[in-house]
Amino acid sequence: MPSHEERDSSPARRAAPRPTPARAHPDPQATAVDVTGPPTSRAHVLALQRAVGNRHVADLMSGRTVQRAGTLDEPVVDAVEQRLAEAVSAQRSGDSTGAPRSGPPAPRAGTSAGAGRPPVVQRMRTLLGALHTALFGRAGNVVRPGLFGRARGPGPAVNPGLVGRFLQLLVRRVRQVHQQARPAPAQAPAALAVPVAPVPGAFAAPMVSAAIVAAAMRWPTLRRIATSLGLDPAAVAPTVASALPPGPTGPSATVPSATGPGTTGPSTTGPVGTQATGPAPVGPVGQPGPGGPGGPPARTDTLVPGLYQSIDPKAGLPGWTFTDIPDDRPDEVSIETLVRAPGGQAGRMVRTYQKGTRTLVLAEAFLHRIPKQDRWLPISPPMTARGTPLETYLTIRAMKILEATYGASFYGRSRPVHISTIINERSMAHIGAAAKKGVPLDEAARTCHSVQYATNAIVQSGGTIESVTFSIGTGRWVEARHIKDQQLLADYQLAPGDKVPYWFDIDIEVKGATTT
Amino acid sequence: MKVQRVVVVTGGAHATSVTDEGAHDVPLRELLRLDDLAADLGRLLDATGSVTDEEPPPPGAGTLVVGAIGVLDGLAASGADMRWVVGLRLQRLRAVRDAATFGLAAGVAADDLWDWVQDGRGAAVYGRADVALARPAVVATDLADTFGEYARITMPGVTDLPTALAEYLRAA
Repeated sequence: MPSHEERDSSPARRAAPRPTPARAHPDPQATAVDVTGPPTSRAHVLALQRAVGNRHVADLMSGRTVQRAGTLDEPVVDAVEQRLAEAVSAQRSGDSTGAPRSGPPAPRAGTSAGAGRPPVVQRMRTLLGALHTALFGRAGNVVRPGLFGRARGPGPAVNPGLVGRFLQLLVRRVRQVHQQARPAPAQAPAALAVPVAPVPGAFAAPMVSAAIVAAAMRWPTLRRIATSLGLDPAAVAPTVASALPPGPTGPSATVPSATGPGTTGPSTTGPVGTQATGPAPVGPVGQPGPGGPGGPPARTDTLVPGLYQSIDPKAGLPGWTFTDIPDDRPDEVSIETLVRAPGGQAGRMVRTYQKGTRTLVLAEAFLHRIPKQDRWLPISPPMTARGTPLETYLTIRAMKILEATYGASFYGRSRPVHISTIINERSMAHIGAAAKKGVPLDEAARTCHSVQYATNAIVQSGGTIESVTFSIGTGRWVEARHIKDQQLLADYQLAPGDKVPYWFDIDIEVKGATTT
Repeated sequence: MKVQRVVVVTGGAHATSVTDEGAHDVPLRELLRLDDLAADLGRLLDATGSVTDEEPPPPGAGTLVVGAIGVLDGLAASGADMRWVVGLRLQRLRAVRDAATFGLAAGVAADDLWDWVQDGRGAAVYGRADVALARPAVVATDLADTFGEYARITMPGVTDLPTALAEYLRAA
């Protein structure tokens, strides 16, 4: 930290006490001095100097004697520095009382108070010093035990500077996410607001801290650090999800995958007219989801208490329009939901309930026209740190409608879930690759994208996946060359002539807390 | 087929529209612009077009019945001639198979119907691939859009659903 000491050796300067903020020379002889009012003595001036460096201004202005370091408000510092400059100027002019001169204020400490140095140079030094302080902070003074009693000396920085603040925010954010990513023992962790610990004097709001972390995650080294902590970098900084390289999971935007089990449960009456919303909390880190390849985590294996109950099909979301059309047939009832995002983009989803078998069928979902960033809903409680995936929200809405109107009962119950007519290319490639390696199809289906995608509603409706069964059904095995996204062939090491399932079905047995 | 009367059957269905201002029922007839659809089809086929909330008339003998899957179920159960029935708002992934299974005159997927309702587009029908159309047509070969003799059919230059449907029905 550059010293603000003047180096001008003119007699006038030598005679005057030099304004030295921050790490002022410790004066073991210093005693408590009442520094309110205009400076009247050298001791008073020295106390002011130490006060500026020690951040004791609050004490000063309140009339208390200087005792120990405290926090500092910048405007107060300015006021004290101004008074210090006045004292310096007064002493230089020979005013024994040290009273501030009338007229224009004396130059501030550290500025061109010294004679012989061009003002421009002085200002540059001041600016550079201020910049250095802003970046690297300025140490405060703390009371330390000394040989002859308590004394003041350079201590830990109370103003860590931007660099220090950045590192503090980064560490705190990583710790927060890591802490909340720990498996919940019995209950799922409650949704938390973004509790970015404030840095003393920091102006950054939680969004700024998230932006700082997001920027940090662009650095491969920092991303590796986050990963080594067991964190998904996208979870630490969901805003940079699109900057991350694509991963092996994530839905194909070109083909819908009907997934998602339903659950029965107590219908709750949410807020009339509007769904409860809230800020995206720092929640459990989940797995990549419908944000696309390498997208932000969109699923979690942890039940979020109250999420299912909070979703009310008759409650809207700001800017969103949901239109539900039932098709009641003899053996099944379908709920077609047309959704319109705030930006005007539209999507569709169909969820069907088979009356005889009480099976929830995830028929189809076409949400790709809605921007990815809009497919995260800020409802409360949210499912993940980023919010609740639109697909999950719509599925649960449909389940609630089926429960309320058509006698279905999902929540917490053991029940079958059927994913029909799967033509999701990622799932096709996944199962085809597994089959090529001799992996049983049921086992392959369990880890395919369609089932992963369905896990959201399964888990949030109080269920767990007990078994997964693959069925070619009315579909067929086709050559992998039919997959439009040829990159998937490379990802899954498939040759164009390898066989992949098309239009297949997956049946999931969901185990709930209750059995019927 | 020579269509003399087009009857769009609503089945009395309603939809629920939910916004942040609340939820309210909307008749499907209004939501899907079924009156416009019936009028356009009637005009394009030189037939009378109408909408009914009641039971559908027997299809055939110049009467084309248009309805959703629930209407199709009822007509099929009653032994109606499904070759004079158009399926409306069929699930996208099942449209071609439903059209083939029911033996429909044509099918309209929900995506295409919504595109027409919202933007006046949606020019695609599911019909028999062997129908010789009066204008050039693109018959899908994707596995998702073909089943048996049926396929998804689009016509370059035709941008709206009623025109595409009328073009196909005239040639069917």
